[in-house]
Amino acid sequence: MLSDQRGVFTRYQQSFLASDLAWFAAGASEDKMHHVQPNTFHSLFGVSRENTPTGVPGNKIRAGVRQHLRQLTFDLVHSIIFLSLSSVNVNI
Amino acid sequence: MVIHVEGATIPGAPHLPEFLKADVYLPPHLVDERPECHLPIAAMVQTFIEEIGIPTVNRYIAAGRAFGWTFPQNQGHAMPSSQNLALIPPPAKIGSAHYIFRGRPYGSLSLLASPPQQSNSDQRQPMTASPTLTTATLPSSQPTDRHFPAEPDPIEFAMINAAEKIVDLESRLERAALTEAEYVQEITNLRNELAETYATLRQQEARLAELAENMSCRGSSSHHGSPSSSYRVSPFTTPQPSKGKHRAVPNASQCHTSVAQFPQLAYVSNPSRPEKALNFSASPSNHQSPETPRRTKPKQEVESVVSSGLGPATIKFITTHNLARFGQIISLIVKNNSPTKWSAMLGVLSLSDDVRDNLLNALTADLERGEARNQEITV
Repeated sequence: MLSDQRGVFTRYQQSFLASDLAWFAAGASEDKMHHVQPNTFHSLFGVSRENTPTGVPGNKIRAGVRQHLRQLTFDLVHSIIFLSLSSVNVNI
Repeated sequence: MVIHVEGATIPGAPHLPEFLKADVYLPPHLVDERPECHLPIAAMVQTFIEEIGIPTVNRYIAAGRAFGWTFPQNQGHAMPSSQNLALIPPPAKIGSAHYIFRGRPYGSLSLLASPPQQSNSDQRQPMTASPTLTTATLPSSQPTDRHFPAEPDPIEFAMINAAEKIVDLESRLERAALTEAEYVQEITNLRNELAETYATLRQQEARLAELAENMSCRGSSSHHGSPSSSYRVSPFTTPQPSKGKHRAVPNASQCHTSVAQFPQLAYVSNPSRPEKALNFSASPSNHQSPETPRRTKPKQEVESVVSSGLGPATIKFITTHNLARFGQIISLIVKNNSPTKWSAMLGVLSLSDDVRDNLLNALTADLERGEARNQEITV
């Protein structure tokens, strides 16, 4: 689709990665699958370990995914704050 | 504001707030424009680590244990110093709104809440720290330092560490007990397997001996060499005293000499086969069918015990103590070991000490009786 615009992927790589994560995360808190039995892991925890290596390399990959997700969350919260900043200022 | 504490911790580190960290998103304007918010923010993050982070870590560990993982604990991690922690740490990256807060020890909240220049921070904390931006759910905006003494108490610290260590040791003890039970089970299985294998080996030997006996009986005198070759099959059996007795037995025919060379059939001095010894010497013609005593016994178990060739006192002991299932093994032990080793070998059966001693007594009684009888006969 973007083959006629070279460098687009490289230039927006971070955004593509974030949108990937957002695609899979969308609706996760409302899909009625987010309840976990006591003292067990969520099924996603198993999924995240299925296709990653064991030991330190796998830990690094999974920590990287978590870091990206956290980054995306913070970015989204940041957007919320700046969209609602005027009202906050009024409150304070 | 977003506060996030991961359930996974540094491997082996104690589950204490000072070993945890929180990833926090702080609105930049709050940090830049309102320095009076720094203290409530630090207090909130610390409260979050203590009240949400620690349970999260504990839950992660419980789930991991249920998953089959083990979590080593307290492996000599040095207590991180939290003396000079800033209220708000520098951002993770320059210009970022992402801050990584390190946890402080239990009881540090009261120190945070009453710094020298701010006396009424307890009152202001719920007010200033509740902008509508808060996305993380906080347990309560009340200062939680009433649970803790005014100063971080080193004794309390040591108590917490000791309690954690006790829990860890208890769980390790539990695991060790389970492993021990497994090993005991394995040892028992191996013992039974060994006994079975031994019994099979003896049966094969006995069959081989019978075959060889038949062959040598049927064959001519030139078959003298065959028994000695089958001797090699049973490396466990060659008690020296019996050999001497064999020579004392008069060689009535070729058939008897070859029988005498078989340990299975010709233990004249061995107490395990007093009947056979009797049969052998008193009525040699009967010896071709060693199963004859079987027909006289009505009970199945007793039959198997008798066919194993044990003496009368031993048989009585075995049947009264309901040990018939061990009869074969006991006879094997008796046949293949010198009397001085019986005690040690009977240890294989995992009997109680007094039962074993009584069994040994019965065996010794049979040994003496058998020898006495043999002497009578040979004389």
